[in-house]
Amino acid sequence: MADVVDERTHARAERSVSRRTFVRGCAAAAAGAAAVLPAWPLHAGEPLTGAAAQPAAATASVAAAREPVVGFRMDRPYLDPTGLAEPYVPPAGTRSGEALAALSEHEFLSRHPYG
Amino acid sequence: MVDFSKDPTARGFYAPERFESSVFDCEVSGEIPRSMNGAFVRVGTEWLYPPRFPDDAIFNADGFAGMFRFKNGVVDFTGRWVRTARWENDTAAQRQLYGYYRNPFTDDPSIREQTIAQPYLRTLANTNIIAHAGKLFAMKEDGPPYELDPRTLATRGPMTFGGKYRSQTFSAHPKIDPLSGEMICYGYEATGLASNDIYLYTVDKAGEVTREVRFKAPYVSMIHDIALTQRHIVFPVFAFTTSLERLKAGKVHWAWDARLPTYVGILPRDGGAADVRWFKGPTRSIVHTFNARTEGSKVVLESPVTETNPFPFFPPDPGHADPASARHGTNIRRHTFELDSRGEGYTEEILHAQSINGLGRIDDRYISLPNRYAYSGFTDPARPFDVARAGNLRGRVTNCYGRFDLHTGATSAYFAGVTHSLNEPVFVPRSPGSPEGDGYLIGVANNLAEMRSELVIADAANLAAGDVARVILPFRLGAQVHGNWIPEDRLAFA
Repeated sequence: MADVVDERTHARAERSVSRRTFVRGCAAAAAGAAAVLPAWPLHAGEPLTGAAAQPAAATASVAAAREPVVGFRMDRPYLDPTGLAEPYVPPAGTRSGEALAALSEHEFLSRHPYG
Repeated sequence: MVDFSKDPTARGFYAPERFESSVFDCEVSGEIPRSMNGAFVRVGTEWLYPPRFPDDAIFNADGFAGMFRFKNGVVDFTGRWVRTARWENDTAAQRQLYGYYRNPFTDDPSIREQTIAQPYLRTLANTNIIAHAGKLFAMKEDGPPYELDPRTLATRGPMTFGGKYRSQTFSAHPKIDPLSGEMICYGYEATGLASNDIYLYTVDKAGEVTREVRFKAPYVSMIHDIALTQRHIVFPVFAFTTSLERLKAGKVHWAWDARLPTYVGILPRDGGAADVRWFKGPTRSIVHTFNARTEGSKVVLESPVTETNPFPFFPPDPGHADPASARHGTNIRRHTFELDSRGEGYTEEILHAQSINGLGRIDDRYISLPNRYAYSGFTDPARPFDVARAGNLRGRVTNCYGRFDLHTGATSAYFAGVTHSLNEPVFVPRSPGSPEGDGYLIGVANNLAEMRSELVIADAANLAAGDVARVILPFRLGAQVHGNWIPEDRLAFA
């Protein structure tokens, strides 16, 4: 009898993990990833394409010794080829995932019956 | 196939949206003032296809117009591409054909010959949107304006003003005289790439070109904005410059050259090319103006002014950078030009030392007339910011609107929220006859945590009280450059 109860509990726990824990896990993983990513996380080491890769077409003040960074100015990100800008690090994770992670199992299933 | 993975700025809140939208009876918090009938129209940048070069200027994205239509306390929203010739060509090719910002030499070989010969065909109409003579049009300073249907924002096509507007380019900041209803507009680089020709036009309130003046700038420069008085037109020429050699070398259009002086041209409104008087001063950036007025023999200009390059995506060439003595930050300054003087100098005063973001506005009913209040967004680093939910932008986003009293030096501020970044504010009078400053300050706030945009409405005389109302969109809006309030009686909205 005890084995049966344990199996049911385990089964329910597995279903719960597949939904809520997944959402929680996504949010936590994204936050953790953002914390350890370098300031230039998106294309570090990748060459710029097209004319931007050619010295004649590159913006004149480019300092070749630095990697470009995504800076932030005028309420927008921009690519700073000098690498001197303060890097922009977007918030971690998907906001919708964060909101779902705060729901109870009952609330989650009530609002999102198909996951 | 569309692939934005090579554009590292197209991420998170700033990822392209690329869809047109209609939202009926938008979600609202608070209560929309019943007196606000008309539309807040805005235009900005949205990439249809990824840029050819990832370090291109943000001003090189396609024009996307938005309209918040206010009627009896209800707000509808419409968002549409400005379908320029360039947008149509890219759509047909299913890829980005156009190269660096205002540099046709970097275009796809399939179009390059034509765009070099006719660079105005590259315009994106992404910078400003205004109404005049019953027409709504979006514009950018490198080509003709594009007329839009005020009911749907559908693109009607480029405007020619009956063939009487002959400049290849049209300003992003024409000025409408509130007394005469005339539009004063102009084009710089009027005869082609890197030319220093300026063509100035008067368009009457019926939309007819009534006057043209052609003259030359001291050097080719970004003349993004002008100022108007009842007697004069004021043209700032400053240190963003270009040349055909630069463009042929494949660079972005503008370079900041801190060696260049500022020139300010003053032309009597009834004068000709020979009547332009150029004043000369130290290196400044005067991208936008607040207003100007003529007082006897003096012309007074009030503007957001920077001593250094305000745009990192238009960097200096080697050896032309700002000196260490130049002060960073933009603040509100007054320049006074004595027309009876023999010298070429002028005076400069700092009216508000506080740093602002450079997108300055006034109550547009006072354009060319004496006025008291200036409005601008600014960054208040002392305000709270939720870094965990909105990114490492503490002290880096425009989180406040300010009302700056040009007479007393007083400042009042509106704070948008701990996860918000504000676009340019616009003043809306409470009623057509209300005094200056009596009305609302409105603008789009991007909620970086909730991934949506909100139009905030605050009482301009009581900014510290916060919102009167917010119109909440269920999605992000692309970057706005400029917007304007169009009263109900100015356009055929229905």
